[in-house]
Parts: sequence; C-alpha cells; structure tokens
Amino acid sequence: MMISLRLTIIWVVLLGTASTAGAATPAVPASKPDPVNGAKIFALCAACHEPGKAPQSGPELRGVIGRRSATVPGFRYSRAMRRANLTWDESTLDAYLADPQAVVPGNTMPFPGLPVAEERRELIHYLKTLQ
Amino acid sequence: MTIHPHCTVAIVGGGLAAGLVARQLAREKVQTVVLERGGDVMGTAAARIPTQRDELRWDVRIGLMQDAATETYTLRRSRDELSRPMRRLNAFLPGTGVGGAGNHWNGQAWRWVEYNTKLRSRLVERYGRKAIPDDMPLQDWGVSYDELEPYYDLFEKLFGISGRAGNLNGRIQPGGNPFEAPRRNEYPQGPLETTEAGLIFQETVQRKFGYHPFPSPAANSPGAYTNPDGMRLGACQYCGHCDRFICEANAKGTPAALLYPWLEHQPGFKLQQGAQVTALDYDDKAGRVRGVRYIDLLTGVEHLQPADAVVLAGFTLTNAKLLLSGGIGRRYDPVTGQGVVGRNFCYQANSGMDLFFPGRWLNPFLSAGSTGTIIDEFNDDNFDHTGLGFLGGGYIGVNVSSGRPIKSRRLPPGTPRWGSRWKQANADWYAHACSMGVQGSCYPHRENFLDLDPDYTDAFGQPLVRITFDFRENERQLSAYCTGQARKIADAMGASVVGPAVPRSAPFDTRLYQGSHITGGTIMGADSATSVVSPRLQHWDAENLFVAGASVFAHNAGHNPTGPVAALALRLGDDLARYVRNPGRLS
Repeated sequence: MMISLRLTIIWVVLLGTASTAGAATPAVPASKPDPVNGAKIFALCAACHEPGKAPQSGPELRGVIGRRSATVPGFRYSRAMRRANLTWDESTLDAYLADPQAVVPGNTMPFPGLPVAEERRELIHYLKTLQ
Repeated sequence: MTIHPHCTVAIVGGGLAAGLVARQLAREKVQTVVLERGGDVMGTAAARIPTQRDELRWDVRIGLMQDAATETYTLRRSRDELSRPMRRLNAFLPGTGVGGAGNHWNGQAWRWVEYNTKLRSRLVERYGRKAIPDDMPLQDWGVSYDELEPYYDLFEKLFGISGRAGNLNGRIQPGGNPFEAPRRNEYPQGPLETTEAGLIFQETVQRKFGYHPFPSPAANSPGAYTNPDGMRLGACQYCGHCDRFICEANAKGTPAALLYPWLEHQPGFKLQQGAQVTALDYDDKAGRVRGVRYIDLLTGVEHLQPADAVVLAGFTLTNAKLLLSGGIGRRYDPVTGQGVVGRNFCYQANSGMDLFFPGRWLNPFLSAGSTGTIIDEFNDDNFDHTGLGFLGGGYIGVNVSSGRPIKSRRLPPGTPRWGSRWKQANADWYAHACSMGVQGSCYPHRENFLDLDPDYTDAFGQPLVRITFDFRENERQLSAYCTGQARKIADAMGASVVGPAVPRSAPFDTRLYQGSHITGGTIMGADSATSVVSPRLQHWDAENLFVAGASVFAHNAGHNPTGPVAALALRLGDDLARYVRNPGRLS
C-alpha cells in the first residue's frame, strides 16, 4: 500500500513536469510507454522475478505475455493460481497488477498491487520486452 | 575419515559474520570453504506463504533455530550452584542453517556510539578510576570507531539499511539520532513508515521531555533496492512476520538473501552444508591450526578440512566452545581473574511495559521487524552517571514489530487468564495496545563467564558450554533507572492503562525470551593477558586462527550487536586477504 502510494506520488510529480509542455493534455498521456520508466517500476518485482535467474521466489517472467497462468515448469504455484485459468495478456495483466487478490483470490504473491493505470501500462510494456 | 584437499581459508559457521568475511575474500580471489551445520531454507516452504506465516511452527516452536535436543547449554547463576541444561532454548535463540542467526533477526542495524570500543578509557576519564567496580573487567577493544566507519558504511550499502542520519560528518541532523557516531553517508534508504504507536511516543518525548526521537535503523527494505553486488531486495509489505521468519517478499537484509547466493557464483568459494564442526586440528607447539574437523550430518562420516587459515564464525557460544574443548588459549579462572577463554560473557538487561490506548488504532499487525521509534538519551554513557551508582544504560522506544495471533496478546492487569471475559478483553484490546521497551547494556562481571560443563554432553558426545551468569548489581540498578525513565514517558503518553514496569532483575530466567544478543567469551583487546584475539581478531597463541562475531565484544551495549559484528567481519575479511599473501602477525 505504502509503496504504491509512494509510486503514485512520484508519478504525479513526473506527470506534473511532463504536462507543462502541452497544457491541455489529459492526465494519462497517450504517448508511447517509456521503457526506462517501466524498468524502474519493475525493480519492485525483481527481488523475486529477476529474469533468467532460477530458482527464486517468483516464476520466470520472460515470455509471460501470451502465456497460460501457472505454467512455468518447476515453479511451485499456489492452489489459487493453479486454478486461475488465465492467459496473461495486456488486459488480464492490467487487472491482476491493479489488485492481485481481487483477480486471483488467495494467491501467494506478496504484493499489494499498482493502483495507477499508467504505471501498469509502463510495466506491461516492459514485460513485453523480456524475451 | 575423509581428508579434503587443502584450502586457503576455512570458516566455521555459515551466518552473517562468515558471509561477510567470505565476501571480502571472494573479491580478492582467495579460495574459501564455509562449513555450515544446517541447510538452506531460501526458496523452501519456510520462505513462502502460506507456510511462511505459520506462527506455531516458526515462532512458538522456533523452527529455524538450533535444536536443543542435539545441542544446548547448561546454566548456573553462581559458581556454588549445580549447572542444569536448558532443555528448551527460549531466552536467546542460536540460528542454524545457511545465514545462521542473521536470518531470523528483526533487522535493527545499529552503529554503536563511538566511545564504545574505548569504553574503559572513556569512563575513567569522565568519572575517575574508582568509578569502575573491581569486579567489572571493562576494557578497551583496541580498535577505534574511525577504523570501523568505512566497514559500517559498506555493511549498510550491502544490506540496504534504512534510517535517518543523526550525525553526518560531525553535523547533527534534525530527525535523526543526535548521539549517533558520525557517519560519512546518509543511510542507503530512507526510514520506514512510522507506526501509530511510534507517533504517540515521538510527540510525547519531543513536546513533554525535549528528547530526540528517531526511526530505528532497519534492514527491512522500504523500497526496491539493489546492493553494490547486484543483489536485490523487494519492498517490505509490513506483514509483521520478520523475526523468526524468512521474509516472503525478499525485503529483509539477510545473509541468505544477499551474501550466499552471490558467493555461490564466485570462483574459489565453496559452501559445505550439513557440516557439524567438532574440533580444530591444533598444533600447540607450532601455535598453528592445521584444519577443521567436522561430521557430515547426512552420512555420519568424519571429515578433515586442512586450511592455511581458519576463522571461527559460529554463534557466540560455539566460538568459545571450540577454543575451550581444543585447549587453545588459557581458560579463564574467575577465582584469580587470570586466563582469557570464557571471560566477559555478557547479555542484555532488557525490560518493558504494555500501554493501552482505547481511542487509538495501533494495529500492531501492520509492522516491519524494525518499525521502532527510539530515544538514546539514556543509553550507554550518553548521560551523566555521577552519583547514580551504576554504569551503562539503554535505548528506550516503541518497537512495533508484530501482531501475530498466538503471542501478541497484550491485556491490561487484572484481566482473567481464561474464559469469556478473557476472550472479550482480547477482542477489545488487540488493536489498541503496544509495548515500550528498554534495551539495557550489560557490562562484564568477574563471575559471569563460560566454561565446559563437567557432566552434560551434546548428541556428538562433546561437553556442553556451561554459562555462569546472572544479572549483577550494576545491571539491576541500570534497569531500575532506565525502566523508571521509560515509565515516566509511558505515563505522559496518554494511555488509559500502563502495565507494570518491571525492571530486569535476578535471577536470570531462561524461560523468557529477552533477546539473542549474547556476547563475549573470546574477546578482542590490545593486551594478550586479558584478551583471546588481537585488535585484528587474530588469536594471540595461534597465528593462523581468527575469530568473528559478537564473541569478540569485550562488553555489550544498549544497542543490538549486529552492526559492529558486521563491521568487524568485513574488516577481518580485508585483513585475511592480506594475511594469506603475507602470513605473520597482523598489526
């Protein structure tokens, strides 16, 4: 919760400086997601999901886009995740990252979620680059 | 017996001190073998929810600690008592497994106040020679804070320590600890969130007493963090399962998360798990250790690991035990005060009280291991002891570190012990109670020491370490004074009920957890007549033997010992890299 709040504040500050150029731009800019920012947000995930490092506390995320849920070989998924029956695409990831417990109740990822839509967009864009 | 190929450095124990020594050696490409009796729990059920949250298994039944049925200690409170084995370990908890006791800490990462390593000189200078009682063998450590400062700094960076500086290069910083030793850098991460109970404490001591509260320095990572070795920490989720648990979010700075997974990939490093060290192979004529003997706990086969240099980095009592059973160095004799191995064994004089605030939501479950709000006004020699009749002191603070269902049940005095009214009181008070604590120093006493028990042995047939310890006059008076100061603060905080403020007193009761901060037994110093190891942690009698950990502390302060353990271990790693290239007495 507190982490997300803090990120929210950072993002609001970033938006504040970015939006001074075009005064009428909406709160969520339609520009291409910034991969550098996505990588920064991914630091919150990396202690458990570092790409190419197995075994660790979270499953491998390279190639996660388009993957069925709970299918990384050898990873011990929670019962909740094994029964989630999702395909990880932009929309399911967006919903899951917004509130993991709402989408897969009882899953064991110790992460409260990213409430800011733009942060999730950046993060998902970054996940796409992990191959 | 299996004899292994010769290695450059063999380290006994695979905890925090060993990991930090090995880290410095690995950077200098020195071949190192770490011998650890336990296994690695990272990535197992112990580290993952839901099992990680099993309070009964990991907390009540201390699932990550040394098994007392295999190895324990005996206690007597004075020399004329018969010693008895501690069949359950409760008062202090030796860790086992990769990471050792460094896995189950709450993460309070203090730098000790700078005069602590020169405490005797400081007290003599301030109060005169007569102020130190004859039965208190206080001594300087032979190392200065300035020598340790770069290593404190490195440890804080490696473990992503959070906090707020109180003294940056000699300039006192608002919001930090004004008694803090001067630091060259801010903490690598900012402070954790302050708890509701911490806010009440902070406001009270600031407004009504003029004290200087500050956030506890913490190895609980407030955000994502990457250390200089590229090892990562996640963000703390404030789940209240920190001490006695493996962090589910990889947010606690521990050797098992930050040191050993990195060491694994370093050429020349080897970690031997399941290695129960039984003896050092010691040549007393040559004054050298030839290697380390251990039993492989999987096969029962005895092994010998020959080495150029050996580091003892087990739990405090393990270090003393291996020197005592190996006859390395002269045993301490409390009658004459002569001898060194076993002397200056210290604990801590901790105490506390419960506070109840019916109108405030304190929500103890929402906490990290070190979400503490502290004052240091009454710690160590931060205040004038003239006329007080004791030396030392302790920090006072509100540490909200867990609200777990089995053990977190603070109830006002007079509540029935069972039945409907007990249940109702639990429901009424759970979210509205907190504790205030004193972490009191413990200075050495001539009659507090370690030796080998004449009767009791462990599962391997080796004598148990016998602890002769009690809280002596100095600790009793210190605790009465500091607990009294804490009580004054508690009364001013606006609680509707303040529980009994009971100072720590004799007899020492091993059934109650009081903190795992035991120190001494193999102490460091500049004089070989009163210390086991030199200021470089090199054994006075065995040139290629070194000791790391809190067993080298000549006294125990009113702060958790992990910071100086880490700084001394990192410095030893650098010294050892020098030693193996150019053996001899280090100066």
